[in-house]
Amino acid sequence: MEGTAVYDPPNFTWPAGTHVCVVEVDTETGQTDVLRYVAVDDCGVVINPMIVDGQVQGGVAQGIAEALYEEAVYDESGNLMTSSMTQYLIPSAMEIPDMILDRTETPSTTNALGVKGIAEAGTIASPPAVINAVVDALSHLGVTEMGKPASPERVWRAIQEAKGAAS
Amino acid sequence: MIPAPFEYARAGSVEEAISLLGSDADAKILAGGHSLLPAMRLRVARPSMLVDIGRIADLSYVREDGDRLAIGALTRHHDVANAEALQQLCPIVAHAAGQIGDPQVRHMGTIGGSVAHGDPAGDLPAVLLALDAEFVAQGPNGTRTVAATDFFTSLFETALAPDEVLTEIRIPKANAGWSFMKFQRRAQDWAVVGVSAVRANGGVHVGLTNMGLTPLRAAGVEEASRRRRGPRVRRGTRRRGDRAPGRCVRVRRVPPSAGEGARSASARGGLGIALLAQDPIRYSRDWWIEFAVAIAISIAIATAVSLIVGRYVRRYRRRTKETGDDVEGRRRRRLTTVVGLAGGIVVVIAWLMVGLTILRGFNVSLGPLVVSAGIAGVALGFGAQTLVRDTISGLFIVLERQYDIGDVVDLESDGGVVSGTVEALSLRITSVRQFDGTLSFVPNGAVHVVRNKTRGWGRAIVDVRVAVAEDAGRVRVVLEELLEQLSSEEPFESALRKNPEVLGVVQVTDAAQVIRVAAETEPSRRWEIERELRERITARIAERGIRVPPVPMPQRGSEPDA
Repeated sequence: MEGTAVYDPPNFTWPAGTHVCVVEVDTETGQTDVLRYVAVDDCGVVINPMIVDGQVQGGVAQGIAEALYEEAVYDESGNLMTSSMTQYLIPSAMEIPDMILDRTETPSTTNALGVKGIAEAGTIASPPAVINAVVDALSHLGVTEMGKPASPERVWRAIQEAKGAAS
Repeated sequence: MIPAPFEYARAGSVEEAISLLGSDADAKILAGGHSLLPAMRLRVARPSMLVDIGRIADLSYVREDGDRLAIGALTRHHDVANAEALQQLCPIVAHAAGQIGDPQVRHMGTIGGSVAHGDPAGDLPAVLLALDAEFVAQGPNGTRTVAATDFFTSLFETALAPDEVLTEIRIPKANAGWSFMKFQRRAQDWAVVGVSAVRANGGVHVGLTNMGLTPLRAAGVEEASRRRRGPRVRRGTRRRGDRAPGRCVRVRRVPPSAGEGARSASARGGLGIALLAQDPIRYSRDWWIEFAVAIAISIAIATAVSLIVGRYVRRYRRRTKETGDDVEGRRRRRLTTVVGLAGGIVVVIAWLMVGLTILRGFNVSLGPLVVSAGIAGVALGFGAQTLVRDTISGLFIVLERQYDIGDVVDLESDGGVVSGTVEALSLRITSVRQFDGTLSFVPNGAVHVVRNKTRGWGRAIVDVRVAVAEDAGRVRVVLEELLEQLSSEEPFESALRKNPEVLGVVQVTDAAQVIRVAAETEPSRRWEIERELRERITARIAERGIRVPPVPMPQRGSEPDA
């Protein structure tokens, strides 16, 4: 005898949120400091707020790392040059700012609990927030785009290029 | 991540450590181990024996010693950072020690280990170098003191012998002003670059971290700080983003360094605030390509300059050949001279720049070079004397317009008189083409008297010899008549500045009286006019039957008697 049961939710859940990042860029060294980071997310009904906050904080930290630090660099012969933790630059607690977290609660209509996913919200929202903040900080110099990560070198070169184009 | 096998021995005293080191040529000292052990785990370092001196308690101290401070080599960074004597009397050392790595590193790592490791990226070595620290080393033959400037010899290499133990670091008291900055990607990383500045001896000492194979002193910045009297160094540290203090030294360029050094440097006002836009990972491999490109570009520029200058100079010379004696011609000759000279100078400077670029690429500091050039200059002075004399003389020849290219001159020099047309004039020599085509090169310094025959005006002088018996008055009339006619004829009309005149009898001998005719001409045409006048006068005298002096009788006796 055999029995098969499938639960097919009528729709996925749709978490939403807004992340705002304030950075300070040293135009002489290209160093970027994150001064403030505000994240307001909506993951529906919150069951354990500490877990939700932890998810957002971890995600934002990973996103800031992607935006400012981590990079796989290869040389001309294809050797990975960032093969150790001293080179790949995973930021430490010293590099990640205190975040201001808040949320709205709009229960999901697609499940009985009214919950939505939150795990990736920080990771997805933070890189564009940080990079856009860097570009905004440099916009008066004529910088219009910035690759990831916005390392001091990349930022400095972008500034020099913009200055060169302007003069 | 597992080190190669090694022996381990713990030393209870410095003497024991020295004898253990002497027993094994590949032994290394283990102090805090926070640089050595990671290197061993990567198998970059493979000592056969570790001599652990970490438990020698009497090497951990900070004490005042007269006008200096003595720090035991085994003093942990944390203890250095918190030593009251250092905070009061040499705060930069305490501060820098507090910036090393993270708390775990600071509680294990020692100041002696940091120094003996010889890592240019370490925070303390550059600080101690800026302070002119002294390092006390103990070996089998006793102790010796090494100055910081002599201590760091190369990457991870120091003046310590394999069987010597660094026991003490001695530093001056320096609390008049200081700054310590490092640029790093993450809080616990090695500095990408670091700068430490200490006010001392009426100037500022500046140490550079991770900008070369060893910790470096920024001699140029120090020099600049001495020239601007009393630059202000801010007490304490400056946070990134602080404004620069009022008077400051700007660091414009930082020399490229081999390895993972800083190349494109940016600077910010304020002493010791040279922060570099630099990523440690990506610059290491291709610095020499940029160096080669820089040399290639400078050579290309110098070559182009030489070619262009050469073309212009040649063009001017060509045009000069067809110039006359009018104002325009003289102006052009003058221009050619100046253009030729300036062109020569420009070309020399262009190639000098190439030389400097190459030197700088090789990291040759130009400051000491200039000093040694000064010393060598004294030695070479006697040899270079003539060169200098020639150059200065050349300059004055041009400035005073003694002669230009195209002028006909007599140059009275050490080697006799050189006569001819000036073909070229450089700062050092004048080339003169003689009438027969010989080209003489006369060093400008050797020219004593310049006789310029093509300046302003010339005078054609022709002496006419007629017989003593002839009536001078009649001859004068005949000549004046002739000259009158000639002055409206070519080539005389264009060459003469005034009507020629008969000066009169200038000499009378037994047989002849000499009547002189003179004509003021354009400077370069006097010889032509003289030749022409002689021809015409001779013809006219013959035509008018004016008697010429008799041919002297042959000497009696030189012929057989009839």
